[in-house]
Amino acid sequence: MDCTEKTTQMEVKVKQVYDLLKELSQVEDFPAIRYNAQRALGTVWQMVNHLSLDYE
Amino acid sequence: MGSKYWNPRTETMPRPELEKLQLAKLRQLVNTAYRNSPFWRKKLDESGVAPDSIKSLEDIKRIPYLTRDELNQSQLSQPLFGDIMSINTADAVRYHQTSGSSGKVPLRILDTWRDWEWVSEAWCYGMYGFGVRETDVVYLAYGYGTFIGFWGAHYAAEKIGALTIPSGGLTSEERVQRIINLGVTVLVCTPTYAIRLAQVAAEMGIDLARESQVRLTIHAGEPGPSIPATKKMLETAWGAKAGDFPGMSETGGSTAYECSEQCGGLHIPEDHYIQEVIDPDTGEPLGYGQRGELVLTSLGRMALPLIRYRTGDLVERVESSFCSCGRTFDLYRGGILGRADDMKIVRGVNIFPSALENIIREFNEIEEFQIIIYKEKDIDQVMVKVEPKPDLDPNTYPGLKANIADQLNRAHRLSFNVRIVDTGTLPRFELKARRLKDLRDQPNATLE
Repeated sequence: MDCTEKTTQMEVKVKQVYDLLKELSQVEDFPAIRYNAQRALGTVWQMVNHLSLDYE
Repeated sequence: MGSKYWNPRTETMPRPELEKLQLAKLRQLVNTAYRNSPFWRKKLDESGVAPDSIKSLEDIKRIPYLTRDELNQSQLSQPLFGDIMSINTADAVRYHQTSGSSGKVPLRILDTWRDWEWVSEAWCYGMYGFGVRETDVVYLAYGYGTFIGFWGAHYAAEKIGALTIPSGGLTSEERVQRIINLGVTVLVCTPTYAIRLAQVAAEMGIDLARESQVRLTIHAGEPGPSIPATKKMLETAWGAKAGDFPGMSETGGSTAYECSEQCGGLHIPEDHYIQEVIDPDTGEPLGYGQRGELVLTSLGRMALPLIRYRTGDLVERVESSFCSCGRTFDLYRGGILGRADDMKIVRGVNIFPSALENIIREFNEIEEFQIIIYKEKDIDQVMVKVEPKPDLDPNTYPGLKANIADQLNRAHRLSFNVRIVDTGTLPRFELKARRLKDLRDQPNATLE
């Protein structure tokens, strides 16, 4: 596996985490999940800022 | 946002499930402490407690108590951080030290990133439970130094999504102006400083209850809002609900919190702590409704494993049904009732500063006060200096003095010497108040 493929696979995983956090950040009745997910979303966005993901 | 609980899963967890969670976390904590902290490995070995022998919550009682002296000794003998930490300094992202306001050697504390997130999470239980929401504007009025103070509250407010405004390096007058101009809805500071800000505002001709948008005041650092007369004073001055959120540097996070029901008790976040109440003299466990010393085991902070820490705080634990909010966490009725080492004995009578404060604060005419214990002809005496509000008619002073003395005397069956002093004479405090001076071992000290 060359370096580029490793990087891409890593980015795919981060994007999966990002999408999952995005979903959790909309949870209605569990503030600890909603707001911690929003905070984590901000952190995960930084991991792949070169992908310029939409930051909702 | 529907839930009134920050963590509806754990805050309403049935007790058997909660205790199972506590046991799982306790086992993790003891294992981590034993593996990584030389102090704890030695202490557990000496007491014959192997980590895998912790099989029930009752087994915690086999672990000896931890004292502040032991923490200090560990750091004095092996500076800077002692042998109690379970991490290397390189793994820490945060440093704090205790304020030193109690006259003790300051304790140095490290936190990992996970611990630091936990500190703010513990604050979230209280702030969200008391009513702070993402639409709020939260103003933290304190110095933002190495004392952990309200750092956790700051990050909790951010986590809740509120606009969070720090105010280090400002004068009280500047803070009052910003509270008004920035539309602050939640104030966070010690109760002593909230009283001070209200006094400064009055000097500036500002009525905070009418002119500010503050609807909640959040306090920690000293008993205040759990003293009924002080709570009433705060709530009247600010036109807001005043909440009590005790904690300590050793634990990092809040150790108890007041919810929006304001039932007269503080909830214990039992998913994050195991809290016991013991007789301070014998060390024997006490049950519900019995006043004793709070012993804390923090299940959240790993860098500084805190297991069965004798806090010196006095509490009275009651069952969760004391509050109608639906939380299954037990509570402390009346909050932190005082400190075992703050209690003074005068001519055989126990005197708690918080009890005196509760009586003195009933008198709205009083701006500030000070308690001095001294010897006169070898007999212990108590003087209470009171500073009246600037606009109080001096003709009322004799009656005020007599009334205060009468209330104090009746409550304690002890004679108090009450003295009215000039405006601006007594010290003011930005953080924790130190209103009691014990001069009995200083026979030549002046009482002025």
